[in-house]
Amino acid sequence: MRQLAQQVVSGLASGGIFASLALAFVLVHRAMGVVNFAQGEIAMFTTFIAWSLLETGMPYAAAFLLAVVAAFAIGVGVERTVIRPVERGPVLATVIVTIGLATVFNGLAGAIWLYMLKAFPSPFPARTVTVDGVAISDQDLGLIGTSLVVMVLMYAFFQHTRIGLVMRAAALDPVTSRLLGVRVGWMLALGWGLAAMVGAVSGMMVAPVVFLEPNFMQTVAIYALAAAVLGGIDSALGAVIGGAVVGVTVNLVGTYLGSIGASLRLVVALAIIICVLVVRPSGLLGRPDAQRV
Amino acid sequence: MRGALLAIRRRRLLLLGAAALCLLATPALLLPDFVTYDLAYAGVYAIAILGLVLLTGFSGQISLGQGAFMAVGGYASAILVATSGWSFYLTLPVAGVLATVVGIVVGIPAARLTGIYLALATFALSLAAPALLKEAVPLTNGARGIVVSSASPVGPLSQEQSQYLLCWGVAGVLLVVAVNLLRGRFGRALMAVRDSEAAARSSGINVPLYRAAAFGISAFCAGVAGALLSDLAGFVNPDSFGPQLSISVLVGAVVGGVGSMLGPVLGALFVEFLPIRAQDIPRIGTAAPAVIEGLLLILVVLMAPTGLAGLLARARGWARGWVVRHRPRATGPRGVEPPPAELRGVAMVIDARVAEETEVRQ
Amino acid sequence: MLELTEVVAGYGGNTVLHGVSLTVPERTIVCVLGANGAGKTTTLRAISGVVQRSGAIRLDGRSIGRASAEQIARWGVAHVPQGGSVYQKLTVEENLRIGAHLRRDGDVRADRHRVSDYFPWLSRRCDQLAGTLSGGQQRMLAIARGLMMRPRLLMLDEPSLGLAPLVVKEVFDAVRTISADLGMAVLVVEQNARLALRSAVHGYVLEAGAVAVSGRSEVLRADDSVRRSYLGY
Repeated sequence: MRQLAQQVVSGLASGGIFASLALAFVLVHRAMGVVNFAQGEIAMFTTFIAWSLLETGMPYAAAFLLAVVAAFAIGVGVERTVIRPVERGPVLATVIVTIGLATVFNGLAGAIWLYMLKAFPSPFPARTVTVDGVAISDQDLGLIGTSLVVMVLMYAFFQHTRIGLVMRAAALDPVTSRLLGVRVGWMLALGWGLAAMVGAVSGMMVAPVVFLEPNFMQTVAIYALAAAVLGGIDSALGAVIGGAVVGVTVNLVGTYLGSIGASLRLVVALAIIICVLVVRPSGLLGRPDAQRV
Repeated sequence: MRGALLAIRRRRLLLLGAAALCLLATPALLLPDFVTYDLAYAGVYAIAILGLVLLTGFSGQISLGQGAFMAVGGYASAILVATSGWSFYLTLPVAGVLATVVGIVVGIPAARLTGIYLALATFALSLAAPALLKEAVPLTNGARGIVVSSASPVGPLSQEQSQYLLCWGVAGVLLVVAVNLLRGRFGRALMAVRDSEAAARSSGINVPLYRAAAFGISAFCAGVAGALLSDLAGFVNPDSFGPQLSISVLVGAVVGGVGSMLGPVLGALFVEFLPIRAQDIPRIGTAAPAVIEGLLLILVVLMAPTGLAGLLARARGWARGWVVRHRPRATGPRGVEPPPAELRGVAMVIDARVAEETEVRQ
Repeated sequence: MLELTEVVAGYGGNTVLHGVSLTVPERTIVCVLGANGAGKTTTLRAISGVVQRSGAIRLDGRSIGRASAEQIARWGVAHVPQGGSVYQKLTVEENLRIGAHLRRDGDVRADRHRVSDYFPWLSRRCDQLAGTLSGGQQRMLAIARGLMMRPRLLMLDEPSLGLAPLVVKEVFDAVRTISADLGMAVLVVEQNARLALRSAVHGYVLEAGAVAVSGRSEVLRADDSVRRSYLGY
């Protein structure tokens, strides 16, 4: 029983990571009905930027903030240059462009920072608290806490700020929004910027756990995608719930069915994606008509 | 009038066929073996890309999972050759059929998905394939893969030349079959489904059936390609059929052009030879192929959505137009031929400008 | 304050307007009438910038014929499209807030109250999803949202379409009051000519993409031949 609780806790911690990247997917999908296949790679790239800043001796907080700002700039830049020409067109075009972006960012990261593993520090102390025989590390709490904070901030932004409302409107009905003076294009860019920021946070949470190298976000991105699809690609709360479910499920599978092998965990995540898409594409909390064809 | 056009088409096809045959045979005989080997690989890609073009271009369904179907064909062939001693050539149709079955099985639920959801589902498929292959150890030998001895060369030809002729021979046959299929009723039904589901349905077309069938056909090509791949490489392992392969096929389809039959050929050549050349670029070396492929993918979608084949077709159109303008008496019933309807309609699958224009009009 | 001179507009390859000229003076209600397909909606779209157009369009002397739709809205043109197009998934309150999203002045709250005066039911249903309102209410919400922009020019596309007569009366009474109170110019496109001419000061009748008849509304109403040929009553 104790081991189960233990696994649930660490599952929730990984779930936190999946949830934060899943939130980035949700942001872009709500803005334009597209999944950004480059989300993970952009998160990876900005984490590398943070690493480079840390290497210059900068304190963690400063490097973190600068990396997040850089992520915002990259997100906005990418949307305005490469996505803008295809944003009103067929979905396939945007999908292909984001796949191209993923390849480019991966290649660039490999070219700039090479492929050797690097260590990345964690902002959370290495303390572990034992509650009832279940060890909960500050790291775990930090991860869960961070994703909750990100979700709360996102909620507050969209529900209680003027610009958040305008962004929602632009996503819901771009044509009418233009008639009301909304610069829809820039709202989309903002969405991408925010998504990149959230992705950067996610990357910097993952990096201390696994080692930093150009491919380190790829499996996380898959789990995050599973979380987003499960929770509903348009729902931020769904992303968090989805993250928790995926994190715990995958962890339990890995522990109790461990003899079958590590790739089974990935298959579970993929099976979740496929099953949800086939049975109820809008996910647990998404609205059924939320699909852009 | 119709008879005359058909006669012209038939003659063109024959000429094209003859030209293709010559084109096919020459490199095999003139180029060094390692180039022939690479060209054989390109032939394999051409087949896989053809499958994707049939699916995406003509039935409008996105698939990021060609690699998975190639895995089915590749492993089927490898297992039959390695453990049951089959002749490789016999495994080709089996691989194709097996992949088709899997394709239809996948295509049935996939038929209900569209747009981004279909992309996600097929992407998940492309990731699931290597993972599942690694787990199914008794059948697939897990992560270690299966080694196969390549089929013995035909006659006086070298191994590479024999493989090259096989790959491009199969590619050629499939291309011709595809063209004929598309010009007929099946092709028209597919395009009707792609352009307007509602209209197709009201014309009595069973939409899910056609979509699943399209998946099946595309999977057939992938399966055959996978089998050929196993012979070329001499082995199969889970990682050689991962998402990277699916993306390469997609890149080939987009760069080559989703609209015409020349597309798969051009796309395959691009996908096969670019990484090799790009790796020679100093300093960026290993990262170069990825960056260049990605950039080119983006550029093609943004600026030339009809791909290389589309650019060529447009160039042909201009050339013909130039000829007509400067030699007015040369026009007859042939005149200046507009690009085939398929090309323009298919371009809509990726071309934002075309889609937008149609939207505003409504 | 709004001047169209020989405006040509259309979609893709089709030209719908073949040289429309009209004027909307300050603080005046002007109506554009005509049969289906005459180009009434296209005229509004040409002004608000959502279709391809050429020809001179001047708002307060500024040429807006080349500007983007967002920019034209920012210069004070509120176009309420046919059917209203409220944000179905946002609440009534949120719809109104978006109307005011550009405003930096302090009178937003005052306008919010004023809008509730014109359409009293708005305050009762602040938190209701706009998609659950009746057709008439959605139409009124859309107008209210346009008003929250405090526009120089309010453009209404067939506000009476599909509404019960009593509701239509409510809408037109509100429009008249608003125009008088705020000194706002209003351009109304209507198929219901009788109704429109009762509220408007000037009228333009479009036929096949050009102005066939125009004049003060009393004159148009009084002229039997105009009524019969163009206005259908």
